[in-house]
Amino acid sequence: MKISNAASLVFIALLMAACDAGPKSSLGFRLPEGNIEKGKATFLELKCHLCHTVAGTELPPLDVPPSVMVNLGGQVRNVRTYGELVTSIINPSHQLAKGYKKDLIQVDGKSRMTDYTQFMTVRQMIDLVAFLQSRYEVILPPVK
Amino acid sequence: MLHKKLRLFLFALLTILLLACDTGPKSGRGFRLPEGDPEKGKVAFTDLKCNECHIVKGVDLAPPSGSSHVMVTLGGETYQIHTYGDLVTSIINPSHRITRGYPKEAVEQGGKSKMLNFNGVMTVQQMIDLVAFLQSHYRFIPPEAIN
Repeated sequence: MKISNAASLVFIALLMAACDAGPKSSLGFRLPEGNIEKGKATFLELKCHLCHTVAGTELPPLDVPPSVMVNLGGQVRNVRTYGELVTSIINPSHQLAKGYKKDLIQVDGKSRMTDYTQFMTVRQMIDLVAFLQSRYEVILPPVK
Repeated sequence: MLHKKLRLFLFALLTILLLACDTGPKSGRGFRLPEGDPEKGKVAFTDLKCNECHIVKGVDLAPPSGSSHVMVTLGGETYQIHTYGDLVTSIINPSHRITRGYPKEAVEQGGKSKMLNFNGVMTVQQMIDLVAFLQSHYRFIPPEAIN
């Protein structure tokens, strides 16, 4: 077999691994449309602003700021999919925020973020995702 | 010649795969559900009155109290793995893919699913537990090899 064909096969295998179709997979996940404005209102209602700033968004100032504020939104190199955003909201320990001192954001490998799944409705989750997604801007790497 | 065909085939396969794992903003890439509790999911199922319109194979549920209408069956043997991605979509976005095997007028109206929208009242935790409950009642049967 030629090298190019072998490379193609490896590439296909990687792609298939990436779109894992087992029971615990995101395959088939489609979120209904969310409302950005309502998402912002939810953000405040659930007091997300006590620990998060959102790029380009004015949020009420805090009397006592926490030891660390995790910034959301802004310029990113990779698209933030709604799959990733839902995960970060409802399963924050799955992938911890990068670029922060470990002990400030995690305890025993778990995110310090409060579990909101009991208090948040699905509608709120959908709107939050729409709000946050609107605050990310994908930038292309500079051309050398 | 064969070589060319193989290449073309690989190219076609790659294209299909890439389409299947769309990674644009509106994609499920990176979606990971926390562990749910099937028992609590069963409770949520009756709390939200899903049993008024759904039967779950192998599960004893209270019969519907209302007038007779089509009951959509969930769970049971399936040839296709029901991923949690699929199940979440069916619960919170039922019009995305309307159930098959029922008379159209019984399950849809104007191209939309007749299922009520529960997103305003269902907590995220209930959704997670419902998925765990439903997923535990599907049994995947691999297709038999053709001899």
